[in-house]
Amino acid sequence: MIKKALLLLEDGTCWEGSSLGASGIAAGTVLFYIGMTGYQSILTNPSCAGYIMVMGYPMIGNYGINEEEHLSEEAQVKGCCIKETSLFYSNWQAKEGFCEFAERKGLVILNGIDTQAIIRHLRIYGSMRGVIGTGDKNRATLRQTLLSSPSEPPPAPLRKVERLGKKEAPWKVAVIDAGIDRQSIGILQNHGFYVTLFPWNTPSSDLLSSRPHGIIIAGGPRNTAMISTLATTLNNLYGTIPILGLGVGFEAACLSLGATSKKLPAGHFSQNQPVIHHQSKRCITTIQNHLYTIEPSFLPGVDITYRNLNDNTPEGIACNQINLTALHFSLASDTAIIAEFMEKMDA
Amino acid sequence: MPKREDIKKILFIGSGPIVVGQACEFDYSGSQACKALREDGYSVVLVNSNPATIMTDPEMADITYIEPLTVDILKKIIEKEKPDALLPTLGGQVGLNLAIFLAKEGILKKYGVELIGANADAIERAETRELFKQTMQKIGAMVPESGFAHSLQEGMEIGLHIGFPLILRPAFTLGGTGGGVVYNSEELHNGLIQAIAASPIGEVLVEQSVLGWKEIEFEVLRDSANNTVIVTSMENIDPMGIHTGDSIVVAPAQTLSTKEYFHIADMCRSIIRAIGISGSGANVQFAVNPSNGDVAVIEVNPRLSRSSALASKATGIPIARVATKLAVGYTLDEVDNDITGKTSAFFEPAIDYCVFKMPRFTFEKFPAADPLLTTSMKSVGEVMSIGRTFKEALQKGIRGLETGRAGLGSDGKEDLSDLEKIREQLRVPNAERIFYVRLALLNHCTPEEIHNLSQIDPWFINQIAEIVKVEQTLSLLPHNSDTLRYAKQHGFSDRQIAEISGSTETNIRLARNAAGIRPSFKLVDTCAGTFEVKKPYYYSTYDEGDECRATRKKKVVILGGGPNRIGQGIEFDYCCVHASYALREEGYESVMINCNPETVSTDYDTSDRLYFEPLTLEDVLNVLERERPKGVIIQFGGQTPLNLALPLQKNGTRILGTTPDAIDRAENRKRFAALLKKIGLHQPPNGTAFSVKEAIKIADKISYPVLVRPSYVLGGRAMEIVDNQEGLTTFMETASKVNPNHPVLIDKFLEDAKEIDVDAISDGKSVVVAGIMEHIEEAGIHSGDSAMVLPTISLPSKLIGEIRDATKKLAISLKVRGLINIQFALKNGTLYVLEVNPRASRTVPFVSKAIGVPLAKLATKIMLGKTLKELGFTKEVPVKHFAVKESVFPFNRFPGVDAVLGPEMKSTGEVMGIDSSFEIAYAKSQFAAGQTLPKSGKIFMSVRNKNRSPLLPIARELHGMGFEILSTSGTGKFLKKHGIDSKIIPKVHEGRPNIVDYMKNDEIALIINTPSGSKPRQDSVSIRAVAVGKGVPLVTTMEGARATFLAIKALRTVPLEVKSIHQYHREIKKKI
Repeated sequence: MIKKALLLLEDGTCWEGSSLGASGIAAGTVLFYIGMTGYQSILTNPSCAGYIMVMGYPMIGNYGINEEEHLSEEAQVKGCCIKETSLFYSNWQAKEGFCEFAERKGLVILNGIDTQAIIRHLRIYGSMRGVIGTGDKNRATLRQTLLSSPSEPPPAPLRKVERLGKKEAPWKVAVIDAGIDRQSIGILQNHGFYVTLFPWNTPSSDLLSSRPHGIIIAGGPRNTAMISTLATTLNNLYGTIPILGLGVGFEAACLSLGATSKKLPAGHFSQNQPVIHHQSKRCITTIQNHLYTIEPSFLPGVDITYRNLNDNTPEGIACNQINLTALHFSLASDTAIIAEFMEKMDA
Repeated sequence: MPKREDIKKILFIGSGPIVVGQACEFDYSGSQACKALREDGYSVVLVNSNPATIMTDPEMADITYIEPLTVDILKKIIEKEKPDALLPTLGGQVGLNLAIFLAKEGILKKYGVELIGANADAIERAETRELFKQTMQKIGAMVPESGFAHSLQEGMEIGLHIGFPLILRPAFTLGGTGGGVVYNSEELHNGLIQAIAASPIGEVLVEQSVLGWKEIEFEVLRDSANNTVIVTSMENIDPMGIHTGDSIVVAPAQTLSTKEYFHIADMCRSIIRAIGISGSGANVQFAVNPSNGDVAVIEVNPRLSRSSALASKATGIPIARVATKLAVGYTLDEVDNDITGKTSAFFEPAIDYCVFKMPRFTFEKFPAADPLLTTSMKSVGEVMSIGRTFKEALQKGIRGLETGRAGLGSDGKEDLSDLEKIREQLRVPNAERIFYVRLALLNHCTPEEIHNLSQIDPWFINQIAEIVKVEQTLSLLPHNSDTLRYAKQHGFSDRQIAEISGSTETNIRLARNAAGIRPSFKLVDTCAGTFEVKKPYYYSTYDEGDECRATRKKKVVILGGGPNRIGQGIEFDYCCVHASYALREEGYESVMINCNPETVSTDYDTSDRLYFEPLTLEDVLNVLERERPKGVIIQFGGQTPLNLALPLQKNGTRILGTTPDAIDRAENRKRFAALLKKIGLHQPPNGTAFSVKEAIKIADKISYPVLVRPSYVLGGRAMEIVDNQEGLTTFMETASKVNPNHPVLIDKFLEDAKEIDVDAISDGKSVVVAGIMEHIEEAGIHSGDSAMVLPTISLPSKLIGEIRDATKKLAISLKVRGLINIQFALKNGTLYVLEVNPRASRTVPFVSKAIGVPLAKLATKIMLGKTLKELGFTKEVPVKHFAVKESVFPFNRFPGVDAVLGPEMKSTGEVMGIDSSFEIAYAKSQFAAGQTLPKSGKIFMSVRNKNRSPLLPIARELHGMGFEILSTSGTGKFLKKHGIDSKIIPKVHEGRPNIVDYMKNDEIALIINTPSGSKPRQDSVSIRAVAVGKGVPLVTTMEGARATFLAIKALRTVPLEVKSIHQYHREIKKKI
């Protein structure tokens, strides 16, 4: 017997399909992801914590779940909507099937629906809250859950301070974990950094006490309380040390410099966000996972370094006066990001 | 960077005739390139020998040459036109090779022509295997272990050192011609000989086989600023070992993990950077080890390819257009994405559907060919299908092929429980293998076993298993709207559902419509629905959301021609494209339905709306129900839409132009005979037989030889000339299998008759003859295979008058509104009507180019109600030049198939030679078709008895010109008797050195060899086989020999000159 599931949106629109993965109710902001691969990364990405993700590519699960593509141990996304989940997988790296993983990690799947129709709906009406309920959940109950669900994801969990790498490494960095993913940490380690991970509420003095060469602030998703704390921390750090802001770190940096945030109609959640570097005209395809952009009303001395080629929104800023670089895309997008940051730490 | 201002005039070389491995895709890329260049103000000089292309339309380039694609001719054109640059990357391997030769011979340097899109060094690095290997090793990319051989001995040493199986890849060849997989030293020996001969530079890569690895392709664009975009990944269902052109391909790749995808994408970027491709598109092929993810680089195409066309149609990115813009200096971010209308070309498309490419084979045309699929391409066409899921797209793709299949099985076409055969067919790569996966599953083979036998990835097998499961469920469950919907969502056609449930297609359709189960139409928009886009195209699916933007404006639907095959190719696509242009000129919306990704008709901006759908009744009706057009044009797409005419009409569709009834009147034997009788025209004595007995009776009455064929066939399929009762009986037994619903037609064969083709246009009241073409070869050769010349060269004017009258009578009696093609035969002063086709014929583009009139456009406007007078086309166009159409054959792809012509069509493409003299026009057509006519050297002659007398004058003059004549004993003795010296050499079985040895030693400049009777001797078969393999010019008919002789004679005194098609057309206009 096929178990039913449904997605109810804030505006009352509803899609019915079948339930796979975990059972239960998942409520959160509904977003979509259009990557043709990368389902495992997006669903385990801390930057997507608390969302419901509609998968644009119709067939999900083909290559199963492997060790390497986890961006965290958990399914960060609460629920996802899929056109056709592949119960069978084939890839030498796969350790388990997508459905087993979802069940194990409490990820609720609404399967067998026209995800493209939902995406179109979200494109037209903007992202909104929604709820997935499995089994014979009462629509009114679901609606109640939806309406009582928070309008934004919770702040990133406060982690313990952790040190990675060799102490004698040429570069020491303090990383503010505002929901940083495993892959980004891996990249820092691969570059031979001595990495100290701090919880996002760490005051600037504590960050500096480890005498790092630079500070990286990375993660997501955006949470109002978290981002204003981060902005304050940044303001205290400016001018003392090279800073690299990534993801929500970009948003915090912009906020600290006087910019205001603006919700994108449907966010940038994909592996194919095209950005152009203003000065060099170099174009790169980036990985992005964010729902907000910024209104570029900056203080003088701040340059917009990158823009999105699709919608022209700012994707990178630099302020040489205070030794700040901030980018709204993943560290994995471009090897040049780290190279440039190393130069700054050397200077 | 903005576009370059230092270049003004750009030379573009097309890809020549359609051959296996190079089809319409380069007409698509070439015409897109021309448009892209001209919208930026560049002047374009275009050269192509193929008249059936949109790119050679006079509107496409500033100056167009329909001339042979040879270094000599190109040199003349460069001399005359003095272009600033040459764009070599969009004209296929032919265009690229020519560019390299021109560069190597210093011609480009001499005239200051710059290669744009790819420089000579980059091309060398990609195309010369040795350099390629070094380049890959430098960036740490793995290439299979291999070595380069320039001789048999060298090759044997390398091969035995690496170990078997091995892949042989000749350098600089098209679609892997002459290559293959070898498993032992004997095969290596023979394979090397073939491969070295096939490579124009005599170089072969002997490579470690990665058989069974996944075959993955990436399509990449890179600009001069080193910005790179991955357009799409593609995965072959068939693993390594089968040419990608022959593989079933799915896009995007389905079984790569994200990490693998990104790893390969990164490799792509470093590879094309290392090779130096800049300002162009490229295609990179990889082999991926399914057990550990190892990636080997197989090949890089530093140009647009068949895969680019597929990638382009699959994603919506107009790759050719973008690549052209990059070649003239733009960077990706400066080029618009024409589909979205708002984003830039620096964008990696996201797709939210699944795309299939299915190859179309024509082994039925070449029963002697080996149906084994290898690394040398054998398919002649392809279809692309789009569905929301793998299963839906796969089934749509199969029915789009028009091979009689309604999907993946369950169509009553097979019932096989012979497990041994199934296992064999899974193990050995062949065109039907996908069906055997289903049969194996039905016979309870495990997916593991199927994987072990076929090496097809388990994920694909599992998807097919899911289709089979649906099929089995359907046969058990009662049919209601739920099961119907379930079946439709898995891609089952109404025909399949009818077969499973013992119903009819019509009833299923009715039940489906009654239950409201209709397809929705979704978009190919490059961005997976992220933006509202400007120029998307459509595919059908059984999913909830519908994004069709059908308007209520006045519009007409054009049915395209489906996959290329022998008998139905680019000529018909050309006509469909013109129909679309004409509709738009007349203020109608044009709506195209087609599924061939190579074509211009499936380009995003050819029509107002494009539906990428199979051309089956069900799929077409679905679109028509949605669009509700004023009418449908069916007379341009060849047999495919024609077959749909009556059923569509029955379903209430209005067919524009000549009525289906008139078409039937011309195709139905009885009705046609009555028509001819009524208007006083002759046809060869004939009859229709429903049984062997009847056939014998008819043949006896009209006397042998007779021409036999099943009714309603295309390209002379299964048509044969039989000389006696035995031949007839054999034919009847095989032919009855061809089409059980239709009888066999028997005609008196008019031996040695002259054949004439006429294309005309009519508005129902008046008729204008567009072109009268005289066949070079005598009757008995399929008109699609004959060379022909326009205007006629040997017909008396009285007879031409007779032909005109007959044409007019036929067109008026059939109430033709549009185009009509008639084939006449002339014997002993009597004109016979062989065939009437009240629709666009294969020769329409050829005639249009020869006379400078866009016939298909005029015909379309007539269908909309215009008269010839209103269109200003009231008189036949007198031409003073000669245009020769020559056919091009795929014999080099099918070793073992005899290279002779007959009533069954075998050619894949055509070329045009045009000149002020017939002889030179013919010579040009031969050069263009790859027959390099000699001016001196040795000519081998061996002809059947009845051809000996006509051979005499030819032999005498050739001998007089200083050619040395070699012959077999019979022909030689006859020549000797008449005073012509020839060197008599042994036949193949008689001793050595024989003719084959001479050919292999490159001593023969031309072969004149006519087959003796319907069952040619093995001896002459092998002569022709070696000639084809070695590329020695070969003439197999007496009339062909005569024309060849005249051409050689002319070539010795007259230098070849080039003239643009625009100039020819201007001269015609002056005369009028």
